Amino acid sequence: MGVPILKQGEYLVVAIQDELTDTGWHDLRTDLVARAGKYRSRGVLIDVSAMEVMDSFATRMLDGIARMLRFRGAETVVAGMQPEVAFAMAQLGLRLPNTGTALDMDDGFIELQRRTRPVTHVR
Amino acid sequence: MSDTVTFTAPALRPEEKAALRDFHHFYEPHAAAINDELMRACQDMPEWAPIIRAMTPEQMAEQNKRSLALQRAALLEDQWQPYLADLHTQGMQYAKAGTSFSSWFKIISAYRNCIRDRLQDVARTDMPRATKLGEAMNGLLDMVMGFIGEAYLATKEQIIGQQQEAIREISTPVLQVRDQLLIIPIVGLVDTHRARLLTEGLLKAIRERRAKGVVMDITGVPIVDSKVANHLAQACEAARLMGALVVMTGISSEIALTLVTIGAQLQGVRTVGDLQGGIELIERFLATGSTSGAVEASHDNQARGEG
Repeated sequence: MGVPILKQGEYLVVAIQDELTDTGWHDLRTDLVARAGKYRSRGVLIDVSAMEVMDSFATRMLDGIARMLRFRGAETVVAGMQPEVAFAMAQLGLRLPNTGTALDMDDGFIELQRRTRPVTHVR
Repeated sequence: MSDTVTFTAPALRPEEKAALRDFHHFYEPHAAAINDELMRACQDMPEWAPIIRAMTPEQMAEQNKRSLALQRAALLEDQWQPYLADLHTQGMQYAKAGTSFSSWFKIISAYRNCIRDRLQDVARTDMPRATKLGEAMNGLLDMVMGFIGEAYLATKEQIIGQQQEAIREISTPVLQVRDQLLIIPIVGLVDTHRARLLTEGLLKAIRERRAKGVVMDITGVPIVDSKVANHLAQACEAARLMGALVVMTGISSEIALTLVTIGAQLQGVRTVGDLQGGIELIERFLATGSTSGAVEASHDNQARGEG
């Protein structure tokens, strides 16, 4: 069973519960991008508060997911990163330039709304 | 403390041991007289006179008896441990009392003079023995000074370490200005250790106080080199990963010049001239979600879709 993806209005919500395997990440990416297209989602909120390690692979996968979602018209916000994880990532030079960040799910929704506020019509 | 530490006895050749034994046999009968002479010499030394005056004759006699016994045990019976422990304690006490190291050398040279006068008496009848005794004395005194010096320096270093720790503890406050807005004024040198504490404190405060904006003011940082710049940029990046916007303020023209000269990249760090400007920017950001007016030193965030 993969990571559950919940639909919430115009947004998709994913809570990564424990450390994903490489194939787990690939499956999540495929599912998420497919669902975002299917539901015409405008934003994806990814909760990482349960993750204790964020290595270069996970970072690259998250960044890749965000870039793919942006191609399909959805913004990504990563929420709930633990301070230790954030610190380790900064020290390792790992960055998430294509996602928004938020303290928790509440702030994450606000950030998503902020990012998706001006509705961009496909011309 | 000194009784829990073990000291290695000096590695001595048998003839050196014999010489030290002979030295003690020569020294012990004169010990009281030498001590008296030494105390008189100390009266003229500004650093020692108050210490000597503070002791009663009984205390002094007791102390002399004790050190003579320790020396006897070390030199005659090869029981170095208590003797060295005593020297170690002495060194620690001098360091804590702030006695200067040079004043110790004054005492030692006074001591040498006392013994040399008596060695001359020996030299009149037995020159080779006097030479050997002189050598033994020099060896012993060098060793004693080495031991006291080590304890002295170790204690001083310990004091310095404690002070550094104290400075670090007080020097990374995180202040809340109002809801969601924090300020960290950084004062003093930023090294790797401090940068870590600072970042940890910042991230903890962001989570605890649910901050969305942080102004990092570096007006009080005297030197910013590429390493420090890197540390600060890491702190900003870590805070961003927690969902907070960090603005760095207080980069003086000298520091700006340094940063440009060394080519340091404050990647992803927004900068504003002064603290006031930084607070204004964050207030605007919190109210409208816009960060216009801040200079961002990186290009990779352009696609983030701000505003």
